[in-house]
Amino acid sequence: MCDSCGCHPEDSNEARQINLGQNILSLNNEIADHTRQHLQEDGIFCLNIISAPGSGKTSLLERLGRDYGHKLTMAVIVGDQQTDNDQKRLKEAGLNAVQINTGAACHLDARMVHKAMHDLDLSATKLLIIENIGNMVCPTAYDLGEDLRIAVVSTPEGEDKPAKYPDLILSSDVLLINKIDLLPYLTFNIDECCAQARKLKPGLKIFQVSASTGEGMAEFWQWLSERCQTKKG
Amino acid sequence: MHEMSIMASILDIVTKTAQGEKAAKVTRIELAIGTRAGVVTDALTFAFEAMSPSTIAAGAELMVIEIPLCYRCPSCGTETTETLDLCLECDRFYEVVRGRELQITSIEIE
Repeated sequence: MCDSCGCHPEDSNEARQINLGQNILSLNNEIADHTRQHLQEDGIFCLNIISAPGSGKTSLLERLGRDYGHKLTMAVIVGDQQTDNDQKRLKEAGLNAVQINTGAACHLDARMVHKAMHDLDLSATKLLIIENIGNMVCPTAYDLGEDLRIAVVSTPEGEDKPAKYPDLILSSDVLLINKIDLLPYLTFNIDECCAQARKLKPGLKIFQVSASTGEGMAEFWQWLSERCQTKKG
Repeated sequence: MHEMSIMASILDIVTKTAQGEKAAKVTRIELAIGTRAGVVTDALTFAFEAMSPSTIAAGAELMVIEIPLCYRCPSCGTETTETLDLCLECDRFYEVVRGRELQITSIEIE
């Protein structure tokens, strides 16, 4: 027995339980909090947009850039496995944009976003939009330092998309139902889609929009720009 | 398939904790994973089998406790697993209180 505290060093190979209660993604979340603090100091509002591939995330951002870019300075961090196609499209729409290529990864994490943020000149920026990798599951686990998380579902995907992918709806603050211009050609039941989403997330804010025609975008923009105004540097 | 990177984070935390405790090996890892946390338990178990042999947690038992989705009325505190959108007593929207956990509860070391 040890003289000073009475422990039994000869028994140190006995099993001991260590209670941790630690978030698995605590390192990611610390970096996300750092990003959030940085953006708070600069008065920049931040969105994290998540959807399946092809729901129209980039088209929605092009629409925001073309129609509202003169009202509020926006920047975009866009993630894809490969290519800088989206960055080119966003720049053509007048947006300050930087591309992240994840290679094999199916989501953006806080470290990638923090690094990309420092590759952008954010001096005049009021709204930073992170366009996540097209994936409705994996990105939902990663806090990127955003103020709001926006889920996008498009009408050709079917009205049961929220029910099929509940993790995204549960972790989002807003749902955009995109491609409503295609409703006359589809059997998509928009009321059912909204009901399923709100069954998962009561009180969820939902906007019905079309990135290609601009329908519904004014209402979304008004709501978003009011949220941006609440953030002062 | 982000379970590999989730497992890398788990093994990183476990290794640092075990080394800090001057442990020779880790014999058990207990996780609490929400059923709506975006993580598949089977894929996580597969990632553990693939990634743990080269770590201090080689041969450890991985125990995953799944936490079901649960909502609570912010006013009266009534809990339910199936929301009815509004709490009928309080006319308030239910909020998610459990089911999105991604936690290492404890480890057992020798």
